[in-house]
Amino acid sequence: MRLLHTSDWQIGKVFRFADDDILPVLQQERLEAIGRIGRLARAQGAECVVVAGDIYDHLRPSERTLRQPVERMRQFPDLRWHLIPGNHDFNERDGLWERLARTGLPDHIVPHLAPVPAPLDAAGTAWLLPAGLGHRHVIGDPTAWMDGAATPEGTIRVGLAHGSVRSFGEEAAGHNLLAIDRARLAGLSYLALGDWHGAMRIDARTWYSGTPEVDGFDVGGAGGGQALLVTLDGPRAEPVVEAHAVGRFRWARAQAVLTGADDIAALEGRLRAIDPDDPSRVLVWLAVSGALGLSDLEGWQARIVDGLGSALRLLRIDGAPGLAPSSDDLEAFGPGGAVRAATETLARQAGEGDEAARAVAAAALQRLYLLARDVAGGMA
Amino acid sequence: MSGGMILRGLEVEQVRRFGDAVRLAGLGPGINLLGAPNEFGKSTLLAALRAVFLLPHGSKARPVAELQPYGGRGAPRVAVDFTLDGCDWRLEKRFMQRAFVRLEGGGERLDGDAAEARLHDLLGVEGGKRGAEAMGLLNALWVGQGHSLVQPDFSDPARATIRSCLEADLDAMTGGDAAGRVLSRVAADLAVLLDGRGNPRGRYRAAKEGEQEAAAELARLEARRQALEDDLNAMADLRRRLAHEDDADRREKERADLAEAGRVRDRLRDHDARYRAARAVRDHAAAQLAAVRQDLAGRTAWERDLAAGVARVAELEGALLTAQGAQDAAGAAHAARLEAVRVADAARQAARGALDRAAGRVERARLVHERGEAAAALDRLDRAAQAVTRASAELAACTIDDARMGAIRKAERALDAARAASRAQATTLDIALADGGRGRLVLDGAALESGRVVVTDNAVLRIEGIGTICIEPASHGRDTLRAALAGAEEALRRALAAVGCADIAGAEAALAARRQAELAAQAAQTVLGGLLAATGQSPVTAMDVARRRLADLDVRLGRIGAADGEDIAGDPVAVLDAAREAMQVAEERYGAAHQALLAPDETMRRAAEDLARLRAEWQVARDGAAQLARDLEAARAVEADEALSARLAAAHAGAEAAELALLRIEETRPEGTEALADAAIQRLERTIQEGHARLAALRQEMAAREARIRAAEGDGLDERIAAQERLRAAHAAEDAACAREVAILQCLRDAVAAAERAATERYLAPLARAIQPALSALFPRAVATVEPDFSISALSRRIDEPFVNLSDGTREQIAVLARLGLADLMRARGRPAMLVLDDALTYADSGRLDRMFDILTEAAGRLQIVILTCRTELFTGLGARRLAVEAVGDATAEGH
Repeated sequence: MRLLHTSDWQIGKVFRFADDDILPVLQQERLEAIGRIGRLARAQGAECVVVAGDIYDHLRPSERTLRQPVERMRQFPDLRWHLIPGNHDFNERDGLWERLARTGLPDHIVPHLAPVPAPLDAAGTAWLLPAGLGHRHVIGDPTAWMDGAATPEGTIRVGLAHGSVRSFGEEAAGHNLLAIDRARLAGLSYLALGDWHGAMRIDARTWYSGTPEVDGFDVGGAGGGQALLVTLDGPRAEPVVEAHAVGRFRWARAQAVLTGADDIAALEGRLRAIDPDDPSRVLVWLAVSGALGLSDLEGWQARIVDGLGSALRLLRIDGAPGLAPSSDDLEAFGPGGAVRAATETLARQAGEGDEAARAVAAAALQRLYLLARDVAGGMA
Repeated sequence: MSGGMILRGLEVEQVRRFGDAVRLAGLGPGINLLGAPNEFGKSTLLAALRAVFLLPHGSKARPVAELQPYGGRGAPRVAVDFTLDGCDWRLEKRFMQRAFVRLEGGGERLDGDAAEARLHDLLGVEGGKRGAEAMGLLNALWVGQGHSLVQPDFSDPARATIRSCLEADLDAMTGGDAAGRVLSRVAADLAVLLDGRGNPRGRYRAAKEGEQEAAAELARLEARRQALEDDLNAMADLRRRLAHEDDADRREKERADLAEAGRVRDRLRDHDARYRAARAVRDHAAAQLAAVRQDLAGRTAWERDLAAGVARVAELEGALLTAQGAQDAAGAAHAARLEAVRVADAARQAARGALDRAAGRVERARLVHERGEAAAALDRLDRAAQAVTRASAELAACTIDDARMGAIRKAERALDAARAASRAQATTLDIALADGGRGRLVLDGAALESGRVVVTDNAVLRIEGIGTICIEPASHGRDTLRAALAGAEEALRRALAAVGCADIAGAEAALAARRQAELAAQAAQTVLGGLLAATGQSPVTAMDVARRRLADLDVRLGRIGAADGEDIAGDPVAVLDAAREAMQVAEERYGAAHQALLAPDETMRRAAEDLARLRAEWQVARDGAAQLARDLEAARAVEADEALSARLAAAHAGAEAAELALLRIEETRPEGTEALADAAIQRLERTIQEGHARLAALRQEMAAREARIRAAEGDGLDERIAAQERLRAAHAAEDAACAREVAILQCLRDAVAAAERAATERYLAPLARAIQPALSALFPRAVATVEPDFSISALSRRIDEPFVNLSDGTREQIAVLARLGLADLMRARGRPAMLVLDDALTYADSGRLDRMFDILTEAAGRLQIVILTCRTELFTGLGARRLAVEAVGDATAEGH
């Protein structure tokens, strides 16, 4: 049989850095990914889709957010959609999953809220062992019960769980930790995991699918944007796992030290090369340092900030190139003018005092150059 | 005067009071003076000058309207002829109706806006907005009345003009203009973010407010989420409670418990009824037994009380006897005390008698002594009186006294004198007797001895054995002398006879005796006086008193009598003291006895009381015993003692039987009590009842909670919180960006402004230099402080004096000097400049005025100065061109 393994849809996720224009686009694209997953499954002949938790980003989404993914899945009645609660949308009493049930789910959308084996497909050739979360943080291994869970003889056992096979760090230590060899212990043909946003193979039978639409600049594994097509030829057969791209946006981090026009051009080339066909699919978080002359500073503004900023879906810039005025820039003010004196004052201030005051003085100096040149140009 | 501006002619028509065209005549280089009284129109001419040069001809602004003739419409027309940089110009403007402008000169002839533009160019001014005056330095130099006290207030173009003049003096451009433009750009950028008071505005304010609103909304959402979580927790709790309440087994058990409790209570009630009946029987038997026992006990008690009463009577009789004895003893004791009082009284009387006697004896002795004293005094008095009498008699017996003695002595002295006179006439015989001659010589019968003999009278000397010699003294006055002598002798003899004395010696002796007698009398008188001195009485009275006192004492002595107490031996005083002591003792004894008698007799009273009480008790006891005896007798008559005993036995048996029956019933009592059973029933009933109510309440509350939860969940709280957090972060970032932008702009503004200020200060120096010569001339050794806005803020002479503190005259003079300096500076830089002073220098004293004249005269070598004044006399020393206002025949004709 074939199934499509996905997780961490995080529907309703809010991106703080995104402005009012881009946020709806990012949110919308996460919904669109469901359609792409459905179409992929259909195209690849998969009978069902297993979603390994975190369908929703929030425990209490709005009614529209709650219904939107259901409506997307409703478009694929030929597929069985198996869902489990994750740590973001854990099964709270009187909570999200009860709301979802009250909306009246179609039969092909199956939430698994209790650790009870259930048939994965209509024929019952494979059984699903779901380990949804009942709390944000579960003490103990939620998959432990699978070891002793009985399924009909000769059927394929597929585990579905949400959590870490190892701790992400001190903070999360001890919560929702899964035994790394659960597939072996519980005799699973395949263990479909969610929680990590990048696709990752733990062992031949244990995989993280990652999120179908990337949602961060720093994600582990393959970085997300994929779904896993899993082919299970029998209870003992090793699963064949293929990763398929389903995401639209590319998220990238970049760094640049700018000292001249060449650097700017190189940076622009680099960023445009991320997706030469469609830069609007690219989100970049750029860290910039260095210093430029007046004209290069204009080039930076024009080519990167304004140009690339418009081309890319998002260009988030940390820092800015400083101003390194050339002797020509200084000459524009004449040898003894008040503006010239002011530049000297600001240059001095930019080199002394506390960090914040220095930064302000440097920015003021840069502004003065630009203004003075504008003024001079206006006079000319 | 090259490079300067010279006003050569001014014509006005239809300007305020000047309806017809007039011309200011006589204008030329140097100082021009128009002296004219008030209301002449000097200020009008200045206004016309400003209008033609500075106001656009098409303007209908207030300054133009104000030029119109008084009380009517009109088209003010002004024309000027001036020389600028050696080129002659004529400018003519008409305002309001048919307004026009024409500028001719240097081969040009311009009209309309072209003329205005050229004019601005010539003058170096900027056109004003909406018909207002063009702005430049001339505005500041051409000031009207009332402005001469204040320093020039420069418009921006004026300042720019001055600055450019000053900058031209420096080696390089200062860039002040560029700095100004930068500053205005920065100010404009800042104004987008900050309002006039420096508070955020626009997107800055929106960011701040947005952040606050988002934070507030976030807080509201968080609170709602908290409420939702509370609801969820409450819901879980409610569900647990509901499951508990809704348990069917539990409810069945409660019902069964209730039925069982009812049965238990019925059994308890049945048993209780039987028990109560048996207990009533038992109580009745016990009551009968108690009654019998009571009767029996009553009879025994009576007997016991009777015996006790009889014994008591006997006891009381004995006590009565004792009490009687005690009372008798007390009476005897009282009598004894009475006797003691009587005896003590007698003793006291005896002691008093003895004391009286002893006192009488002492008194008598005292009286006897006193009588002795009185008798002695009388005797002394008597004797003294006798002595006085005796001495007085002796004294009276003396015949001689001092006067008589004096007469005697006088007679003797007269006799002696007579004898001496006789002797002086006598014969002297000096006899020298030879041995054996003695007695042989006899004169007149007297034998002579050797020596001198005086013979005064005839004498016969016989010498024994010889014969006789008769001697007759030869004296012629012998007879007289003899008679004198005889008279003297007679007088003496009579004096002596008067005192009864034979001779003088006798008289002397008698006189001495008299003296003795006087002394004796005096002494006796003194004694008597001494005795009487105490009483101050005459001797007779004194003696009478003494005698009466004696008689009185005799009487008292007689009263006392001699017989009483004479027999008592010893010292009367000691006897008296002893008697007194004895009396004291007797009194004390009497007092004690009396006290004993009078003291309350507790024993006797108690004895009487006891007696009375015992008698009463005895009476009662006797009566009681008698009554008891009678009662007992009566009771026995009703029921004999034997019958009573039989009744007791029967009652005893009945009681025991009833008690046994009760015990048997008690042994069959079921467990528990009726109250406990009732409580259990009530509790179970309540539990069941309340269970229903709780169930209903729980379902109601759950429904309410569920509705709330669904409402809250439907809102998508978590999602909205996330969205709100994003919003707040976005606003915060915007706020930070704005704050940074403001900081940058302010930093930039401060730096440029400081630089501009510094540059300005540098190029102010030429202005200060331009003003300084005139200033020094007026205020020796003074230095002016010039501000960046070209005003003079202070004058330093010895100390800094702020401009506003200077006197009106000094301020006015400085204001004129400042304008003069500026005009000078302008002229030196080839800019058009001339000065008009309207009614200036009116505050100057004559010394200052002279120096101002010198300064103006000196400046007038470079600069045209027009002075308008109503006080022509002040300016006579100035040597100025005199201006006059003349009518123009045909202004337009002349203009063309």
